[in-house]
Amino acid sequence: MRFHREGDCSDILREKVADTTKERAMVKRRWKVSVAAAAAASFSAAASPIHSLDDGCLMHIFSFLTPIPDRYSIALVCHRWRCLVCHPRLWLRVENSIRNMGEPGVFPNLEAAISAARPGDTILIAPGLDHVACNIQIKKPLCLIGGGELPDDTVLTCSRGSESALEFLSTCKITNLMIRAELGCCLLHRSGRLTIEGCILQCEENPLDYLSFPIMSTANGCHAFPQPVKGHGDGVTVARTRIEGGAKAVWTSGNLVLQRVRAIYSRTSIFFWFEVAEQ
Amino acid sequence: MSTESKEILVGESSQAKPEKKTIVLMASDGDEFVVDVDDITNQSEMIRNLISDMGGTDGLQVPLLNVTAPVLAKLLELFNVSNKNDDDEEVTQKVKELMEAELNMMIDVLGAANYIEATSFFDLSCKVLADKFKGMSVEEVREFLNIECDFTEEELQQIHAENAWAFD
Repeated sequence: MRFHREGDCSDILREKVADTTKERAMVKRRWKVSVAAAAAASFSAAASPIHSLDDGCLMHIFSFLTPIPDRYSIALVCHRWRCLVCHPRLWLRVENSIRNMGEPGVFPNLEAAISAARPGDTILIAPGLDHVACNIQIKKPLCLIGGGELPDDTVLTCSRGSESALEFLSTCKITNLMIRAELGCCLLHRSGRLTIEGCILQCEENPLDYLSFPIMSTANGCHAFPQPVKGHGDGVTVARTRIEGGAKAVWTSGNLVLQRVRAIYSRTSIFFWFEVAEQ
Repeated sequence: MSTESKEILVGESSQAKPEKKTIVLMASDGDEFVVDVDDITNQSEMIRNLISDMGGTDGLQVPLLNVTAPVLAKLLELFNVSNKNDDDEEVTQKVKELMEAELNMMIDVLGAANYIEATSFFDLSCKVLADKFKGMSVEEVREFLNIECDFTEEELQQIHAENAWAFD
């Protein structure tokens, strides 16, 4: 019975053979190998015990990591980790509904969220609410995302008397947001690299004030330390963004200039792609 | 109801315990562990709720289907350390050492702690594990936890491009 040939072990035979522990171990191993082979293509569950932890567990572990650089580097580990580490549950949220107040990571206004955020955090701004943004300074790398389907679902309004809605002193990204400035500018770029993607920037249609620009940059581009890689200095990158009103779309007082402009004219509006960088 | 309130009294008056109440935890492979009620309810929310739902601890057996005997033994050992010390320092240190020595076992312990809702211990161990791979590169994390990279080269480049904004 023991000396069965490889390949002729039917289930019944295997059961009988498995009487001695040695052989049981063998069967176990064979079973493991076949499962591993089946799973290896997509998922390495058999290889690493970390995969046996459920999603909530892993996300809890990830919540202890700093966004930059750890969360960004572990997003490259495998598909599952990427899904979890980029999950909105690890983001900060701006909502002013009473229901979610007190939940960790929920803030009543943008300023509170920004001051609580850690470098590299993502802040999700709830759509359909009146968000006020007056001279909010951002000094750490953050990503601001509008939570609506379209950018104009989430509106940040900068009231009269403020210089700008958001002021950037660090590398940041804003996407899917509408920023409306009644006077003054929507975005004031001081330094760092600012990425604006799929947004709407709206200024006064007929500005009397010469300070009304959707984007204003005072960045100098030159640093005390030479930048190791070209193209990694200060700059603004705009993609798929509607710009309305203002004296002109971009105004710079430093030595950055407008470059690589592309525009698509749709029936009701114009979408822009351009960069503001050192020449 | 009356038995329940009595138990709480016993739990609070630590000096004058007539006899310790115990329950039995059963690991997935059938091994039984007899544990002190106070010790375990201190840690595990699941068992605390279970006891209050059952209205007592008499002859209570709790099967833990997801937890093997060695893992449960390790978990109970760590609970012991945690129960003996008021601050978390001792147990943190112990968890750290064990993560160093038997990482795979500790990952299972972590899963078990989550399963029985041992919130504070779970929190602490997650933090210790996160600290372990803080500052590691992608390759180091993969090697440390024995994870296979299932990305294609194109996917990796795409993620790099998406995250490019954050890196100077």
